[in-house]
Amino acid sequence: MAGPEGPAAQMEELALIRAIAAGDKTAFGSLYDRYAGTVMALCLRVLGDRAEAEEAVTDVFWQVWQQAGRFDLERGQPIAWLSTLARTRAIDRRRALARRRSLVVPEDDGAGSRTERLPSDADPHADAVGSEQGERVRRALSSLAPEQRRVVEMNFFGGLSHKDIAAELGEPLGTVKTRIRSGLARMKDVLSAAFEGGVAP
Amino acid sequence: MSCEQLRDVIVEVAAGTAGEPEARALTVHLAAGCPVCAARLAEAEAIAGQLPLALPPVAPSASVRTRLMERVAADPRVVVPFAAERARPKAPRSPWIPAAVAAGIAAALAGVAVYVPLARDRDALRAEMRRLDGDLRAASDTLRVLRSPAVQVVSLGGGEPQPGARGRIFWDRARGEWRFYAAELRPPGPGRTYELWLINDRNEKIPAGTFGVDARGEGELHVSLPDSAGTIVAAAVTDEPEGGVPQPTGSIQLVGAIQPVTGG
Repeated sequence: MAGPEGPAAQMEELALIRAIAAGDKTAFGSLYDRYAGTVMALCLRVLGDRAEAEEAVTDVFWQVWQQAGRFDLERGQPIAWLSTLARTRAIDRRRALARRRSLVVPEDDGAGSRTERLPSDADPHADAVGSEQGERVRRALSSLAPEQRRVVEMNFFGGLSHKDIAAELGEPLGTVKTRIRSGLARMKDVLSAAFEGGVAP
Repeated sequence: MSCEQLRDVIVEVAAGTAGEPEARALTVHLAAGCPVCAARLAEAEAIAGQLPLALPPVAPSASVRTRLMERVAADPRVVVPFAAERARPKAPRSPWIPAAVAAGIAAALAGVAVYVPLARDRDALRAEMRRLDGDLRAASDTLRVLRSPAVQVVSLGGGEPQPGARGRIFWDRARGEWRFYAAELRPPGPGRTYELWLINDRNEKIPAGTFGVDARGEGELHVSLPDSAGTIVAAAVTDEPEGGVPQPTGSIQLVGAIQPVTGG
């Protein structure tokens, strides 16, 4: 399995979370500076709207401030926790928006197609900055067949359910499920291989 | 739902897109203790957790940070203790070996037999039954872990300050779970606590939580480590300031090596 920049970085991040739990505002600022861009990118994919995404980012980090004391090792890396919070907040927000919008248009219209039209969908290398771990994940994603990567991104970045993806692409549900599963299996292999290669002498 | 049917549910739960009934079905299934689905979920979540790092970061407006920092500065909240600290005061069970657990269950059942004819208070009896039922479940859960072929047992011996202390770790490799039990440890001094460290093959010491001991000198910790922690080769317990520290500073109270598993 791929790790962050080694357990040292991971421990540093855990120390950051622990400091936030103890009420350290500077530590909170550091965590924000480190991950706000990634959380924003994810929320933007789900919501397709900057103002809405910024609201979701605010919700996510406020939750981090309030619940850092409940974070424990079981949650793995802080980025995994942030990713879960970001997906949950953004998808909830989109559902609420869809409910409001459904007063005038059919429910499934909107969010999904907007997500798909975001230009950055075309190439995750477009603005390839960031950590070693980010680079590894990008490489793993690039190793997928285009039809696998498309559905994995729609599910994990766009926050679209398998059913919504099938409807969006006009593909059978079973095909979508199989592609996502095989895509994840492939990513897992590539990530573990990258990690093992990285620590080999 | 079968494990096979749950495979796609696991993916959607990790992606945050699962429907309520499917997510509940998975929770029920996992609560019943399916190690296969637990491992699959852990795997899917590990990927889901780092996938967003592949996205080119998008900076939110500066006002988002400003507003958050203002809100944080104005928050007069009470500091919540760290998760591992809160988990400490567990029922003083001593699941050292299956035999001990079995003996505990037998003793508990014998207790019921004696208690029944004497009971006048039905509610108290029911409460007692519920408690025993809970104990029995906990013991069965521990037994299940101990029986699993994927569990590796690690023994820890006392360091110089407490040569009589001992510890044991049951490492469920399939689930990445570590159950640590300590015995015959002196209570840590005032303002002090014990902290568990898992040490990987690069000699990096990963903090795995703090714990205290009860009157019998027993303490326990349940830890889940991400695969990214590397190959763990040793475990140790040190004496540290309350709240724990990110790197060990105190003397070693317990220590043990972890045998490598061939092929793993």
